[in-house]
Amino acid sequence: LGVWAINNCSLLEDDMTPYFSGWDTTNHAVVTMNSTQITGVGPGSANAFGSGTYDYGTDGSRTCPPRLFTPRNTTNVISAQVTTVDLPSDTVTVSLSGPSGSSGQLVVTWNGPGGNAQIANVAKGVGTYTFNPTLTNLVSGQYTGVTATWTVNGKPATGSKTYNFNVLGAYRHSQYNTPAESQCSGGTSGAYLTTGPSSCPWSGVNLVTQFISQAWINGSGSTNQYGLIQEYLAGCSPPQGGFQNYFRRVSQIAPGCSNDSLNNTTVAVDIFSSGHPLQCNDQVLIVGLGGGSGTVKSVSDSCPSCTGLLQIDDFNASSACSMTDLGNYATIRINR
Amino acid sequence: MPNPTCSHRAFAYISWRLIMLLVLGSFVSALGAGPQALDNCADAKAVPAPTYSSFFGRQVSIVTESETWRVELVGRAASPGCPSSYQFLFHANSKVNKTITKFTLCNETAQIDEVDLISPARVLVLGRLAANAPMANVLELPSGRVVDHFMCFMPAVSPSHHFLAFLKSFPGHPGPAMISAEYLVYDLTRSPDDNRPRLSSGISDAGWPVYPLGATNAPGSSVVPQGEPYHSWTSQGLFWIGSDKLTFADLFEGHNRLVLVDLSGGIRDLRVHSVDLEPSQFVDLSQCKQSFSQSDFEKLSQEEAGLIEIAAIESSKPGWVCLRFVPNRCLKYASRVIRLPGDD
Repeated sequence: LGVWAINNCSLLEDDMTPYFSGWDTTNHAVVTMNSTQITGVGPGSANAFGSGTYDYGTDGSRTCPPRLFTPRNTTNVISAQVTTVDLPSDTVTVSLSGPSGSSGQLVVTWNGPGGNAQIANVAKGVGTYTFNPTLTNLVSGQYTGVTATWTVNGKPATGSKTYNFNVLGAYRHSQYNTPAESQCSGGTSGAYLTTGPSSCPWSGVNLVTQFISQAWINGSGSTNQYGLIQEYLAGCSPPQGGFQNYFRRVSQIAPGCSNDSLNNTTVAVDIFSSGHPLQCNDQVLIVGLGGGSGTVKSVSDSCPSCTGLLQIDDFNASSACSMTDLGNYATIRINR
Repeated sequence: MPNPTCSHRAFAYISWRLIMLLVLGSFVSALGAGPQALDNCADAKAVPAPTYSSFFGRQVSIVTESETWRVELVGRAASPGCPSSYQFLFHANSKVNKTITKFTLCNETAQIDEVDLISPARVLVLGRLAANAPMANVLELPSGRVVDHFMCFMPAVSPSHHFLAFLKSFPGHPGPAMISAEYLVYDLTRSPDDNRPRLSSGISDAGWPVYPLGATNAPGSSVVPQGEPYHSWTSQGLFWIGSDKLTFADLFEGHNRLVLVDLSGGIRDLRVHSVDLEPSQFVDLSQCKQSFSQSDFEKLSQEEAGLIEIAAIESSKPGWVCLRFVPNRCLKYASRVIRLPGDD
């Protein structure tokens, strides 16, 4: 930093810096300074100044007393802050601050793979703006947050917010449930039930045939007479002669993720593959499902048959005997 | 008093089993040096999605025909008397006799995804009971009589429609347990009994186990407790390269193996070869570290072999196959031509 003045004799600029000290500003909440730099602190406008005493010296008959000068310059500070990133509500909020009347180009981008996809590129003045970015066509991969850059008079101000998520891509969302025998139709067939888990006495029973196959496929079911049943045997060997028709009676369904339960907001995925991006307790945003920006569900169960496929099996609390697919949806892991 | 016929029969099956194990033991090869690889596959081909992965809950019309038959699924109707609550109406047109026969399918099948003709007079109807539960129905033509039906995962019909390869069916949500894959083959031209090997006691499901060695296809054999070693498929399907050669990839205890099953001698005289897909040949973790979150990267670094997932296996020049990989930033290649195991 320095001070220059016009020499009235030579009409040239003289460097007066050595005479000046006391570098300061009129508003430390906006800007601070020392002899080497000015530092923006917060948005706004302030004067930056230096002060120094210049001794004109004497010239024979004339004596000029030392004189105090305080040159100053207006300093404008702008800032751009990403205040909110929230995928479930599909909102990104950016706050732009600076002297009244400041205006410039605002560019908001995802920090992620495949080049940083733009959320917005618009002219904006001071204020707070909320954007609702399209989530369906984001490139698959890991994202780390959002960056906003606001350029006013050629000077950029940048702000970022960390928000980790992973765009998995378009997944087929099938459905499974715990079907109720009462909801199935047709005749009956033989099946085997055991109490387990320490001993495995098998009892032959008759259940609705459609229910047997659906309970086997879904992993669990609710019988008319014997309560909840689950295919998980917990150490029991299948009964002699049993074939896709043997179950354990349980008080509640034990999903693949321990200490978890199944409801309308849980899903099953291939949780055991090393390369699979989802594991127990992860949360996924199913973009567009259920209207609005989508529905958030958590991983609670295993789906071995989903292995190698872009498929997630969504649990449905319905007791219907069979379930159809929900469809294909862009799916985003939002918790890490 | 034991039934001598059954005893004899059991002995015969045990003998078969021993012979098969000996055969497998002779021919299963694990080439530790990894596969001999050439370069990338020539042309990228669009890999059609398997029919069993399509939307479940919407029945589409299906027609298939050969020189002698034309079979059309003409409709699905609600039918409370059928185990699935649906029945399917077919028209079978014999081009030889110039007759059209109508028949219905009424069992657990709730949606039909694919129909394939089997020479001389059978038809394979592949459908599903539920979203994750494919079912195969082998029907006689022109009557539509169900010759056999069974559940199957990832079914793949051989080009000649002679064999059906699939994974042993398992519960879609087995709770706190793991599924260990058993790879099976069914001879579509043979009887249901011929296709039930009964390698262990109890009722055996349809299909001869071809991998891993020792698989029995017995009830419950594919469900193992969490924490125990298990076989998992790393190819997104089972792939036929020719009329009698089946390939797929299987991961077990950190080894990802490309498996070749040679069925040229029939389903009871198969030869199995495998080769390790060495991670060092295909994986470069340094090129993908920035693409993953730290937790993801730590997880996938623990089992590099599992990163080699194969979207499709295609025939290449004789003795070689093209592996098309599932896109992954950790892989060095999008595809790779490698020498088939057992074809040195």
